[in-house]
Amino acid sequence: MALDYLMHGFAVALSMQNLAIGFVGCFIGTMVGALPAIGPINAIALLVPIAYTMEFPAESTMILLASVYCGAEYGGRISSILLNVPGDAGAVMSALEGYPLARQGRAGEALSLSGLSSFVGGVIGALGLAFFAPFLAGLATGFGPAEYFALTVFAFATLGSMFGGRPVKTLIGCTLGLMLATVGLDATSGAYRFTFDQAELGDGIEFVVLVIGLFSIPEALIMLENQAEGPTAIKTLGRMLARADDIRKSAGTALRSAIIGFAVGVLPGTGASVSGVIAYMTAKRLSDTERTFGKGDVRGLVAPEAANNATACGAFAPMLTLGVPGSGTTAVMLGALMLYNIQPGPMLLSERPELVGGLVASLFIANVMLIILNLPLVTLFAHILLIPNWVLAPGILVLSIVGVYAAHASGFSVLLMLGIGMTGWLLRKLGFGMAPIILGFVLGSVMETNLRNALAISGGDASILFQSEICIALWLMAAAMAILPFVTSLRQSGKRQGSKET
Amino acid sequence: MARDDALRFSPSPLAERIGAIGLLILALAYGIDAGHIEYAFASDPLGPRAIPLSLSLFLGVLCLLYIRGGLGSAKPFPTGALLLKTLAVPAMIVITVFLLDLVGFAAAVFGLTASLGLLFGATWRLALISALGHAALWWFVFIDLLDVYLPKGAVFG
Repeated sequence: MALDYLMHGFAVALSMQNLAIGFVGCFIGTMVGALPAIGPINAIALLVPIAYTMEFPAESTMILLASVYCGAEYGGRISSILLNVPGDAGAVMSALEGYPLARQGRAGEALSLSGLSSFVGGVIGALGLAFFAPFLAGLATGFGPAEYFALTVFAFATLGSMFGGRPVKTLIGCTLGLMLATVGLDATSGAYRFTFDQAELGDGIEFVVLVIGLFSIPEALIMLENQAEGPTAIKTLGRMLARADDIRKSAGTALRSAIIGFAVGVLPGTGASVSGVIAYMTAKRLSDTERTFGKGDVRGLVAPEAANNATACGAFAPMLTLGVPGSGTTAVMLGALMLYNIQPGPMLLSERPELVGGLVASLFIANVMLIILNLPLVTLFAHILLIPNWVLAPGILVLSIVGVYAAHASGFSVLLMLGIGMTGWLLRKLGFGMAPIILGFVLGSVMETNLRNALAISGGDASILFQSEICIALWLMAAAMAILPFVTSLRQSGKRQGSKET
Repeated sequence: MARDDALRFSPSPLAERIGAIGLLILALAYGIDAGHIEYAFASDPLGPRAIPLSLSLFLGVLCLLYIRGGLGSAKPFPTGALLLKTLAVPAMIVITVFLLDLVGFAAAVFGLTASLGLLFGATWRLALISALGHAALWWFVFIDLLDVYLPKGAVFG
């Protein structure tokens, strides 16, 4: 059954017109992903009316939009690695290892390795979508508020891997992120929280404002400081292709992260930012035996890149099988389908196999196109590092300002971004990491909303949080993740003692 | 460009202590504001205040732990001329935001990138050439290519 509709889909996606549309989509997506200011959602929202006006058939429109989406996930890594400014939400964690690698003069290797891991993630995600979508979407319907709350607890339990010897600072960062997530209208009670009578804060702080503020402003200020100290070591590119050793070393991480990414993508309401965090922290927890994470470990770069590309594919599963978007971008694509009078849901596969099959097949084709497009362009992208700071730093700041301004055509968002950026700079100077703040922010509203919804359903009875099998499994996994560091350190101290005695 | 150590002061627990006290004040202010959140009804037993109040308390405890035992990993802050240059960057962004509607995107970006170019060590000539390039490039990318709305400016119509 799965193979039948997929074969049909390949016949649709491999037509000359759809191949050309897919290629254009991949190129636009890569460019859009590389620009820190514009996310795939903006590009897709712009392309929907264009495709409709040009009278593209529904499957061609979906192929175009899916190619842009996949391309953006590939492109997001470029500015993360080269400038320490994430191109999109999914690439936030890629900066943690990618930028240190670029600073070591290994920008070309980092770009090509992350391109390969994006390919692995994209292909595994597409395979997952082709064969397991209906089953996984059914499982996702078992996720109620209590299960989502347990999932966020599990994500927070993996936070231990981010401590890096500074647990108090990590927890403070995470709490600040959680606090920022409480700003805006509380949907449950209708109360405005921490908006200070500013209408612009009614919808809360936008993720793009927070991410651009925390990453680009401090980066520009630190570039200015480094300028005062003389030239920095980042102006070397190194080799352009990934080393075979690094590919071997990170292959397992890429596979595992792709599976994590796909599973997270299937869950509605989560997204590439969440999967990137979970994949990175899992990789760190399992592989950072030599404490190389944070200093340019290739496995830490490969993990979020494989995960976010797999998430992009996984997000199509609930959209196509249940009519529930798995992410903001697929929500816009759902709107595009409705423009064609197509109602996604359990009957879509039997009613429009050419559409579902064409979309799934186009994900495979898009990933092949993207790896062909991205690897030769590594040299071109890496040359961004050779641009002098007096051109590069103003460029980063203009991109940041425009990206934030364009979202609402309001100066308030830019000033908010600047305020967050200056606070981020102070926090970085005080030795705080930015990743825990992002983690707290991403998971904060999901956690609070689902906890409160679960308690509302049970009438205040907290036992609802532990009733279902999914909940119990997630709590057990969270407990294991929380206990693991202590067990590992006990084992290591035991080994050290043993070696001393011998 | 001066490279001497006088540009910076060495990492000091004082800066971290001030930072920790600032965070403690933030926790207190956030908690007080959380206590004053007004709502007519809540469909859940927790209500909109419970989580913010818990976060305020948690941050307060963490700040005390930070002051007590977590100091010592701050990086040096800039001083003197470098501090002025650092503070000039946000000042320029604020000016650009206020000028956007008046002079338009292209002129505002030209002004911002020229002044930032000078700040980052370019000569006048190079800074102006770079600013011209930036204004043209970003105009093409955002307005012509991506069709993003950006103000053209009241002055230039």
